[in-house]
Amino acid sequence: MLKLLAYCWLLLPLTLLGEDRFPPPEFESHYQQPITQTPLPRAEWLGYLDIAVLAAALALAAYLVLTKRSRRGIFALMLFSIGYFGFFRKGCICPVGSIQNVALAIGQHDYALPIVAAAFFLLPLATALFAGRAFCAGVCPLGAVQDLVLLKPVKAPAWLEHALGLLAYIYLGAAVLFAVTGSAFVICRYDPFISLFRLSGTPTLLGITSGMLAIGLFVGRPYCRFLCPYGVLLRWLAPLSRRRVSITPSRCTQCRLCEDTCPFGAIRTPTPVANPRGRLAGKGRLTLFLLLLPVLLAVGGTLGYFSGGILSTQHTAVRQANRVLLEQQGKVKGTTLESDAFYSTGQPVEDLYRTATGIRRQFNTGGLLLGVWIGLVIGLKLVFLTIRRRRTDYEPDPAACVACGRCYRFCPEKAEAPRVPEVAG
Amino acid sequence: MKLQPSEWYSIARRLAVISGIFSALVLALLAFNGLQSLHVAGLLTGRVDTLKTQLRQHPEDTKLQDHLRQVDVQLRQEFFRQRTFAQHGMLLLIGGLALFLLSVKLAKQYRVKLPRPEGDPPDTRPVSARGQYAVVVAGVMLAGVLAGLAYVSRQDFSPRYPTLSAQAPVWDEPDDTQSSPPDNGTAPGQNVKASAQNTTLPPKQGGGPIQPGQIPPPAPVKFTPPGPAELAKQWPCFRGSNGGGIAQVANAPTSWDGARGTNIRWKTNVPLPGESSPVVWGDALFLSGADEHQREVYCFDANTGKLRWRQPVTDLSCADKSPLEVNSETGYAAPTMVTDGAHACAMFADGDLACFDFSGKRLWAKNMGKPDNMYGFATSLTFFRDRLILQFDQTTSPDGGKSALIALDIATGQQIWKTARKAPSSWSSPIVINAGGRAEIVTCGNPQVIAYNSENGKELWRAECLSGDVAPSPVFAGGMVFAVNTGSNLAAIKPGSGAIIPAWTYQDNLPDIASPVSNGALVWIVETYGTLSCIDGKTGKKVYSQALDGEFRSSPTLAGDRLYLMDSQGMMYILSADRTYKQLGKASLGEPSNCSPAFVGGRIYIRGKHNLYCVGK
Repeated sequence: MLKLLAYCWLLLPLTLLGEDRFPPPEFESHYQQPITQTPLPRAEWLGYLDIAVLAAALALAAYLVLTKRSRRGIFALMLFSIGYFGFFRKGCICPVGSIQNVALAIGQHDYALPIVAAAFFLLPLATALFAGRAFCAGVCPLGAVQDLVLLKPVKAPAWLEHALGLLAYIYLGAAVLFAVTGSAFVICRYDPFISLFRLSGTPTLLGITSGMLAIGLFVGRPYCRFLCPYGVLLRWLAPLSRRRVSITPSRCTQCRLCEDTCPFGAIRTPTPVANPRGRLAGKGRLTLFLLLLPVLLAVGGTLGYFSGGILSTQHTAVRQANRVLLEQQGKVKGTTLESDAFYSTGQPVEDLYRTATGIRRQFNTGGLLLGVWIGLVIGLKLVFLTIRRRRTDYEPDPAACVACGRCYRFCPEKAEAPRVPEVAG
Repeated sequence: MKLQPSEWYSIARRLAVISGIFSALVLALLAFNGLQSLHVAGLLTGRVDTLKTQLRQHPEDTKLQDHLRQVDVQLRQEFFRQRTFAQHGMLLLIGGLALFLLSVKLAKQYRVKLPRPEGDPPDTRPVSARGQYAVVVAGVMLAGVLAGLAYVSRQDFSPRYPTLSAQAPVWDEPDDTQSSPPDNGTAPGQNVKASAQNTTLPPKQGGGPIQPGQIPPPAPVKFTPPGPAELAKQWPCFRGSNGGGIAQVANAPTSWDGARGTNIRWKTNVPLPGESSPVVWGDALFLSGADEHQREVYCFDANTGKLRWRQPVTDLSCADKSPLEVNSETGYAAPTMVTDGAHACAMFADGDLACFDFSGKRLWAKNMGKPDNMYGFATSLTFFRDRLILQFDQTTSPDGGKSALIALDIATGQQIWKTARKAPSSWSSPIVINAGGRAEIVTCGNPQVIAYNSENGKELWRAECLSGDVAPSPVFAGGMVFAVNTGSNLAAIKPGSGAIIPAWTYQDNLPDIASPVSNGALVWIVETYGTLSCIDGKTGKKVYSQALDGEFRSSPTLAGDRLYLMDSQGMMYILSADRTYKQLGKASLGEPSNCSPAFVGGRIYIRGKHNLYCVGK
């Protein structure tokens, strides 16, 4: 039944066939066209309400995860988040996408960062500094949807997780590059759940949604673990938090009951005693990777620099300039919507070429930085995989743990009663 | 009654099965609906296309028209039925799936498999090693992707844009005897950008008259149209670059006397009469003149007033050989010319349309058909990018079937598009506005203001607010289009939608010839018999009105904080462009004039009944 339903998801895009906008009649129908109405902007106070709801939800999530240790409570919060941040707010604005607002504000001086976007960007990060990934636990609607649909978790091999985990870093780098240059908000454009929250979307987007949900039936939170660019930031900050999720409320007896309870592969097992030969080999490998790091940066930077041309086509002006150039050279016939849009401005074509050249330069530099970033991520990942950390207990990886609370119920230990201080005398 | 866990499990399981089957059914129905809709829509679309083809062959067939309407309605009904079905279905599907997921989760709560760890705890060391290999493989793959992107970038996505030096002007210099180098502004033909590879230049020749019957073939000149900044420095068409009578100068002269020559830089006789106004580009000033027997285009040196060249437009034939009748006040050369820095085009009352380059060489010419116009054709030309725009309204009835808005390639005269207009004759001139990034051609006629897409001539919006013989041209200021004609309204229209601002209508002392002028905050209109009215641009309320001596056919101009208004005897009223009437000065041309002046740099060019004047230093 579950498998059948998983396959049924893939039929979802078919439901959108024929949803194209209908053209107006080409003949006189005596129909009085209504006056075009421009919807009013959302009231400002509703933005502040969103901030307040986010702050309250984060505080509640931290309480449920760290103090109450209630999976049911977290689940209820997930349902609320899907309802409010998902269906009611239609997935916008969300902290994941707010990365781009911040990047755009840094890159484009004429863009003023909205307070709501800044708050949505900062609040979950600030929470992560004190309470780990409480945001992922039950506040993020994207994570909540994936958590809800997870029915038959299949454990992915750890080595595969390490490799796939690189994608999120690359996605973050690319999203920042496109946002800084004012080209596109790719995180929003390819948000895999936005068509679900808005109950509409292109067949392609709906296909992505249904595909992600179908995968999510068996692979725990695939977007959060392998793609989410905001998750990268949370991964960095969560290990710094003073209070973290712990499987046991008191002490670990190494009963191993929790060993396979995390569908996201976030539970780390105690490390065996290291032997001296292994330690020596590890040191050699660490040295090799550290020496390799500058090479990776150079290779990545060079390839990224030369990829600037194709990356820059995400920017409208570059696409327009390329198209207009082809039209001017007579290499293509007719015009496109983009070239028509340019022609309608009445601007000289030299201005367009000048603008496009400037943007292409930005992308060459940006591509270089993106390549360096990718090289750095790969190099540091290799280094971190070489470093051995000593663990004596079963404990969640503070960076990878999304604080879903599934492991709590499998720990047989109970919270210790608070000690009553003895009164002398 | 308290349920046992096993009972909860049973309930949740059944609920999951029911909601799962329900969801699968809804999903299947939605998919079927989508496919069926495609099939039906395809059938109906095919029928609509067939009927449209038939209708083009038999446009008067009313049965065919009715049939087409019916099929079109069926198609639309099918579309909306499918959409409603899909919307309702999606809601049901999401509800069903949510119930399914929740019930499965609930069932799992009551049937938990307790973990039974067996064997030794896993050793994480080999996992780390495999992870390193996986990361290395992923890194190599990423490098491959980046290398592929870099290769494709170099091949296809990094075209070299032509630099400005590569597109330097390569234009035949005008004959020395007919032209002098400019001392400021833009040189004639300066913005003609032609690359050596793709441009065929017109052969160099003098400005001698073209022999009758010899219409030179279109010259394939690659031309880059001027941008807004360049246009703002010139006076390329009737009432300046925006067609709104806004001069981008702050130092326009405030006193002169044409009869005595005070503050007159030069004064030149214009060979043939005309009501057309001067247009100026750099140091070239263009004017048209005509009488019953001849039509001519003139190019004057804007610095000296010397006639650089005059070219006749007498060799074009028109199928309608009946004598042309025009009102004496309109004359044979009422439409103002247009120039884009490389071309200068003129239209005459008999439908002759000709285009010259700055050296006086005729690039193309054609007769657009004798205008069926009771007072004489007077609509001025305008242009947008590489297109010459002609509002060609004719006949006394909206159903005359002759009126049209026409776009021609300014370099070749080839028609780009032609849009029929249901409008009788009008004498108003079109303007091209930038409405939120979209270039709209706004026209006035009886009874509507209609905006057209500059690219394809398709109608964008219309606003019914005019009546009678419409002569004043529209203006665009403060995000609004203002249109006026006597006997109807001064109306404010929101471009994009064509929505007339309901509370914004003004009906007193409306002009029948002179166009309005506006800075967005205020709108000024002057009726022919001298009543100047100032109206609040935001509310449509009268700010003041003032009776002036004289008759006014020339359109007013705003230059900085001054309003220039010339009566038909050539007396210029210089007023403060403010909410209170304040006359700053008066200056006499010394001869009658009905033309609108051109403001360029610190000079004003005015065409009098007999002479052309340059006011200023």
